[in-house]
Amino acid sequence: MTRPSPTEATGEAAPRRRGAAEHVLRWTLARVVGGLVVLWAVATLVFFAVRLVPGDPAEAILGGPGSQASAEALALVRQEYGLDQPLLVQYLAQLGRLATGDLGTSYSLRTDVAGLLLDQLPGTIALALASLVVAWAIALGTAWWATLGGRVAAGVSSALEVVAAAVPHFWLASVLVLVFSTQLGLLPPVSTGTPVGLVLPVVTLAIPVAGFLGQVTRDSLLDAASAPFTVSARARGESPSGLFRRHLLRHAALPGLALSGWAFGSLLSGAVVVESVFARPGLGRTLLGAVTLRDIPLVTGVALASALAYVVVVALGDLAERAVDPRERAS
Amino acid sequence: MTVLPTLPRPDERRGASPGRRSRRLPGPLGRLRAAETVAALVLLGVVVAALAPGLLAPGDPLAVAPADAFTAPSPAHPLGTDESGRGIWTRIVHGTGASLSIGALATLLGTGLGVLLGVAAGFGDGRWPGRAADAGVSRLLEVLFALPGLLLALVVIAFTGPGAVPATLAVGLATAPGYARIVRSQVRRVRRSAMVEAAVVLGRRPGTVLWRHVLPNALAPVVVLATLGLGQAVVWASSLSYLGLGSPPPAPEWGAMLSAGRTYVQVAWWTTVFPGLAVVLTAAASTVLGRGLARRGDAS
Amino acid sequence: MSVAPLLEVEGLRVAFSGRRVVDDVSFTVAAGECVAVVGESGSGKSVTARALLGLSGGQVDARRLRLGGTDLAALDERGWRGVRGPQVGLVLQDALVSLDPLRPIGREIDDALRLHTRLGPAARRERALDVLAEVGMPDPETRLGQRSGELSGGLRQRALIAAALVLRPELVVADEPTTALDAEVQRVVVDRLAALRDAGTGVLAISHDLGVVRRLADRVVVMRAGVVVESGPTEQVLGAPRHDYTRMLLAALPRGVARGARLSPRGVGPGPVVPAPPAAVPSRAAHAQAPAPAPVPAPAPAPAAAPDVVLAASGLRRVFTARGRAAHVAVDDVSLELRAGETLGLVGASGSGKTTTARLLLGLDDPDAGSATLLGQPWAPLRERDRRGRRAQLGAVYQDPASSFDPRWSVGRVLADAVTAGRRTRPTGVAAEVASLLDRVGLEPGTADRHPASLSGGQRQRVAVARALAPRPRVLVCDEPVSALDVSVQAQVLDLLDDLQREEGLAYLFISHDLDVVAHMSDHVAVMQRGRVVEQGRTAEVFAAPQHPYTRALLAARP
Repeated sequence: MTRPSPTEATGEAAPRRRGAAEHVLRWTLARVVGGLVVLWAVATLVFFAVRLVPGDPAEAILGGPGSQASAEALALVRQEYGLDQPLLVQYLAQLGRLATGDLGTSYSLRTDVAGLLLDQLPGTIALALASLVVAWAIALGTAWWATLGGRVAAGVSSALEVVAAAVPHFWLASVLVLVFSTQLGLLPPVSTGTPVGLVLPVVTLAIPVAGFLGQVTRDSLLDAASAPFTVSARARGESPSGLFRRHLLRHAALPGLALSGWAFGSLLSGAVVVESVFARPGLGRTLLGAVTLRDIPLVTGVALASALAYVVVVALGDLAERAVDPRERAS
Repeated sequence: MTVLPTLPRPDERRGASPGRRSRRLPGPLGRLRAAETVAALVLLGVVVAALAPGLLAPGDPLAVAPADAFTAPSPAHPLGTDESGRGIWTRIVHGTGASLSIGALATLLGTGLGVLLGVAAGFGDGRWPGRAADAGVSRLLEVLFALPGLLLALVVIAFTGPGAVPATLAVGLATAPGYARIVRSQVRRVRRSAMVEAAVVLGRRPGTVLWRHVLPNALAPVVVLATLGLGQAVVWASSLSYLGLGSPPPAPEWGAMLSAGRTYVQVAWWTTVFPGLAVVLTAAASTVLGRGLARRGDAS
Repeated sequence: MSVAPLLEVEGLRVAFSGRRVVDDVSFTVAAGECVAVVGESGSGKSVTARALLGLSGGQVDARRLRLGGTDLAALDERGWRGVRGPQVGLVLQDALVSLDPLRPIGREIDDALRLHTRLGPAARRERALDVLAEVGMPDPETRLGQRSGELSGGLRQRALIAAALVLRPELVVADEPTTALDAEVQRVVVDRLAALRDAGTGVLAISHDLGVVRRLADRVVVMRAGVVVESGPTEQVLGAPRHDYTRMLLAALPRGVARGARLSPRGVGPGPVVPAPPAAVPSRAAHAQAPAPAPVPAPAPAPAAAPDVVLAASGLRRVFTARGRAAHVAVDDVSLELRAGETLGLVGASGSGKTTTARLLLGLDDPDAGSATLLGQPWAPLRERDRRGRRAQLGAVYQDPASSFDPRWSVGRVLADAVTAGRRTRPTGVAAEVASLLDRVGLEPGTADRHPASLSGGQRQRVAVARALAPRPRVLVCDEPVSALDVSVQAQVLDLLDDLQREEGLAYLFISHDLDVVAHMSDHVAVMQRGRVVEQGRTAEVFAAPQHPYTRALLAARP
């Protein structure tokens, strides 16, 4: 005797949304506010983390206790960040700076963080997006193959998916380079400016995500394949490929779309390794350098950029999900 | 690096769909599938290697023998030697402890934290303290998700500095949101279930309901999740070492070994391939085992 | 009348991994005739139906399997795809899940046309609109673009039927076409199928609902455990059944059975085995034959003094608000009374507020207005801590008990928990009480060690009743307690509830969408529509002479 949802309780189909435009506006507003909250939270966390680390905050910003920063540099940092002022003032000042787009200066690269990020962001985004597309293609392709190919195909694809999801990027990259570069000489081992140089990094990034997307997709594919509407479709004389294309594909893709934010996040974090292995310029490599040198302003900048990208991708994934499945859903 | 802890669907146990037939072993092991048995054996081997590496590889992982550097796999050194002439097999086995312990401890940390956060958030509908907790935790989780996996670990390391302990902490924190999200939805689901309503109708007090029904049922999947997540944690831990932010050399940790071997990959592929294979095997085995446990849990 | 049969099935056998699910089944369907295949779960009727479309799976063979001029037994998958749609159509039950919820219904219909005809898009659209108009869909142009979830129950079912009909198949197979649907929607479906039959299509209807069968079918085939136990013209099978199983099925139907009279043979519950007196059978069968809703026989004379009121509700009102939607009034000014030893039936379509009312009475939810008293003391709205101590007076039985048991617990643990709930001290002899509870609901003592998931539906429901009885309540709230059960099992559970009520003097609130069950079980009945009680009174009076138009419509919608 679970609580009836308001929709069920009316006994009628769900009422149409009041005003599509109003709804879109509300949704966009919610997303924007949500995104700002996330960014604010990241900035706040970093702010307090810097000051919670034992030792002199100025030193922490300049690379940690072992950085042997000069006294002038320390004094400069203290002045720039107002470290001798009360905490609240510092915090508000920091937020103010961030709000105006001033992300500080990277001490290790001696440039303005914001500019650096804008430079590096496109490369990483391109890599991540291309990998996402490839991952989806692989996942859907194996799902198709598993439906049509019968028992053997299903078993093999299941095994492949588990392995793919368990493979670390750094190893996969090395193996691919070994096979395709060293042995076969087909593809360059490091990123050149050309599209060919993009192939190995993209494949490396895509495979683990494809493994996971494949598992999730196949589960919902199996669900859909035994659903009554599939029986109805088959009773109309639908062929297996038609069944897949017209019915199962959409249902199978839904959970993957819901997870697109997670998938993108996984790609971003994988990009760190992939960019470093293939010597490809991008946010990931920048972050790695920043972390190794403990360059806090730069780390903060990358964290904020990543958070922003994540929020945007989640929003897009939500849109895509609604496009495929416009049904009202209770959260 | 992308093994998100999720639960396999209950209908995996339905034998009706094609391809679901699995080979069963005869005898007392008959109820296990072949894949899970293999996975369990692999993990057993891994645990033995972690606790008593000498049993599987009697050599010294740190003994340097420059004359033997870069020998290909041979009877003397089944997996070849690295740049300092140390046996790869020996180093992999002895490195199990480092890689596995970081992964296991990180998983413990992650599940512990995840459960706390998830339970707090799961009670967040209706009355006030609950709703504040849910709102707070949900926002926190959103933020943590916005810094996915390895990125979050890296940010933590930026503050703590590199090393095995910081790596453990970082990976633990990075895995916690995934667990928290699942625990939260489990808690909410169970709280709304007919089982809880039936207990209320019987007159059980809320505390009793919580203790007897909600927590045990909501947290039952955590063990399975942890098994699934162990593989992910090992992958991340070795990734950090690969990037030079985990266990420092000459510790025979898998990721570090791969990193060292990176430069020599064209000359001696075995220095790269085998350590990574160890990571893959461990992660895949824990995934298979985890899914098997989940299937069994659903079927009971 | 020697019309060559449209569909000839002879010696049909279907096996899954060596296990025979359909064994040597034979029947025919002629054009313009409706044949019903009747049976309970596990009878193999659904598999038989699917086998006629090649969708059953498993190993199928038959001595003869012909549809029109086509030998179905000789078809390969490709051949089947040509037959499915133009020669045979399938109508499943709930259109919400039987049509792809992500696609507009127009596309579902269009698919069939695209697969089997060479018509262009404009012509296909015309055909689709035609068939929608035929099934009585208002405003077909707009409906084409809507998904099944956007349509109301009756319209969706029409769309489902339209999708199966658009290629004008000679045979339509309807698999449980009315299950889980509201009475009014059921009527829509039955009327459509009847119209099909009258227009010359052959209809094979699979159903466990004998009322539908009576309305729709010319001939009936009764199946049990994969075999045909009886077949023949409807009047003969349902009026004068020859086989024991058919007789038992008919005897289990609650329609026309007096309050307190048994539906199932004795021996299933506690008490000695007493075969049903043969004289009773023809009279029930005679009732089963009556075309119009038969008047309920006069109940036992009412007791001299009205029994005590145990649970009373006055002016209950509950409104649900959800963000972005208008407020929904689920329960509006509902007043009810439950008396000791008597049953109040609550009927209405889904969404009428029955379940919400039950939840308010159980104290699972608080009303926004109005009040309720239990045994004279205030009950709702009240702080939970003030009423928790009295919860032992109430018990609840749901439609699907499986989800209300803790999945980790055995039956014994569930009952022991119910026995100790709400009591301050743990009574000694919990095990003895559990055993006694099991005995009272007609379960063997060994059931305590089993897990609810391993029990049959009927056994699980008995465990649910036992759990509800454990705290020795005065009132039982039963929300669709038998809707998910086979007819014969339903009969046993209803008899059990009756026996318990007599023995313990319990008051029941009995919620059901099945008017026959309610008529059999209730002394009083309240009819709900959109949250309000539109009519209330003694069951015999309300059903014999309904005052409110909605009540009349409900009664008329019974097949």
